[in-house]
Amino acid sequence: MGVDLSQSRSCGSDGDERFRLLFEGLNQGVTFQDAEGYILDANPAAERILGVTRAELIGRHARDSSWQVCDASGSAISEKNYPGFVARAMDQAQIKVTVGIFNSARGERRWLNVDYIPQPSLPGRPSVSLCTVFSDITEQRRTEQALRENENYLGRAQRIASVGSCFLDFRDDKLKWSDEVFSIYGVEKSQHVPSLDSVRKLIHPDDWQIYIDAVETAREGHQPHPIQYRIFRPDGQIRILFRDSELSLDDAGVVIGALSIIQDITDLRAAEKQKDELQTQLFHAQRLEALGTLAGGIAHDLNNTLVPILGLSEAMLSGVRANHPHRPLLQVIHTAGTRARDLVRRILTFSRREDLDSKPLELTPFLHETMRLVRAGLPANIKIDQRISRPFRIFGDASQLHQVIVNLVTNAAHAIGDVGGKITVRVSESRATRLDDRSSLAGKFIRISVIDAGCGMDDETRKHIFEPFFTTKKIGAGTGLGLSVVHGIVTAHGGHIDVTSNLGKGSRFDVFLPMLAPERDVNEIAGIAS
Amino acid sequence: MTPRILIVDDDLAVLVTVEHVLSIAGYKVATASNGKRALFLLNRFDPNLVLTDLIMPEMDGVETITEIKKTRPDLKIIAMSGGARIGNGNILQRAKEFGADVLISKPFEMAELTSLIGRSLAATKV
Repeated sequence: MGVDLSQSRSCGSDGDERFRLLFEGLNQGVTFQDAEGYILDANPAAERILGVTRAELIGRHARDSSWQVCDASGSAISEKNYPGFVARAMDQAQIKVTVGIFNSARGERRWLNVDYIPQPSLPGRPSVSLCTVFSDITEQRRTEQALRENENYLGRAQRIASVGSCFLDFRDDKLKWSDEVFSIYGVEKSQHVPSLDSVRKLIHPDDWQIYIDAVETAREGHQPHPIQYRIFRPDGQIRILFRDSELSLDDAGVVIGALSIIQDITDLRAAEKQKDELQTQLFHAQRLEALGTLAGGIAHDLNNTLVPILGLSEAMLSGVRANHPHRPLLQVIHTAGTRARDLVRRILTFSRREDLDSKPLELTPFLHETMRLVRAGLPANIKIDQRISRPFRIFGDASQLHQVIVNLVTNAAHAIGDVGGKITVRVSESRATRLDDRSSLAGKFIRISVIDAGCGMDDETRKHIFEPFFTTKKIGAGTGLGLSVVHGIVTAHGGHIDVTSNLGKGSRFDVFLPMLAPERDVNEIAGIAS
Repeated sequence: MTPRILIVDDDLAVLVTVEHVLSIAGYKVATASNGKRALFLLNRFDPNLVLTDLIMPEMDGVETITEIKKTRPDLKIIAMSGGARIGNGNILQRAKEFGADVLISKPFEMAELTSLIGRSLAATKV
């Protein structure tokens, strides 16, 4: 767009008049400058845009310091980079240059879009060397900036939320992804062109139907339900994505596409699953606790009831002569009462929580002694493999822990049965953490493992084994209290017990007990424990 | 003089049993099924030893023991426990805190009870 003044000259006075009207009436500012850059003339629009009168403009230099001329990034422009100079030097118009100048009338910087057009020197106007045509684009620039900022915020928001947006245009089946969607799928923007075909390669084959059905529903003009589907990331990870969509309509109300948000909910789902598991664990723990309390309450009443049964049968036994016909019957009553009493004692041990006679305990001699006693009661074809060599200390009630070991080993022997086999008892250090973990004094745990290759148990059985009265033994062969007592004792010590088992292969019980730091003073411990 | 033993328990079956056993053993026995009656009999019957349950409705065992100790600090008290939890900690210790001299757990063997009573009475005699 060059204003060739030579043409106007030749049109005579009409041309002058047309030119004058144009000059005066243009909405854009126009200035003429000489070869040095001094302004020779300026139109009314220029006055307005620059905030300087024509009279003041004439004779002012284009790069006068009052303009505070700067480039689009706000930096000062050197003389040789000044577009006017470049235009003249290269005899080539510099168009659509963004330049900032200080408008003194407004008292602020304004942004201009300027065309610098070199003028050939002409006989009538030898001094005109450059023509500038410009408009104020400050508002426009501000809007663009706001828009960019907005897009930037949106992009960042998507990134923070790990939510991406995607638009499927039904008119050409083109898929448009926001940056976050590339991130979610784990593909490079530069290497992946989103389309229904290319996205199919990323989606789990079993879930493709879910995906495409939702697309088709939208295409037919119905609002699709939110969907969840799995994808394979190029790094091998499987992620779960959530997609919710909305139909896009044109002005006539015709469906032209679907706008969706895509969110990676893999972590959310994992957290939910963990929450469910913890809830189950908590519920289980609460049930055991409740059972314990119930058992404790019943035990008291049962003990009272046993006083007349045992007391009177005993009194009558001593009161009747040796060959009295009732004697054997009384004996039966007394024996039954004794059994009941022992049973109630075991229930009480299960329900009792804090009645421990705890002392610092050297694990090695304790276990050796316990195993020696237990071994005596086992059949000859059961071998014990003991691996208890490192010196460990715990704070515990020796007689109750003795009961724990005896119980576990006896159970293992029972699981092995008549065929014979091996029971391994092993002690190791552990750093177990769990939801009901009462933090151990030294931050560490001892793990006592009792392992057998016996009959094992299935999942269903394993879930219930610590419940009181649950037993897989035949009627009369066992009370079903053993493991519930074990559980109670271990928990009272601030530890926990885990079991792994495979039906037909064997079982492994791990008892975790808080480790005692060797240097700890006994009094200090007693102070903490009470 | 035949030693007199006062038995306090809200469970009648326990009262009957222990009364029977102790009578056969040669003691004079009175029974009370609650603390109030026990205090009444403290004056009337003037026992040498009291055998009491710890958990009872209305005036419970602890209160009973406390009241007995007020009027008759010299009296030996044996507390019977059914195994119910009384707060935390060692139950024997708690009984002693309550003022009982000795604790015995239900159900007890009668021989155990009579020997304990014999020892306690011997200790009372100067």
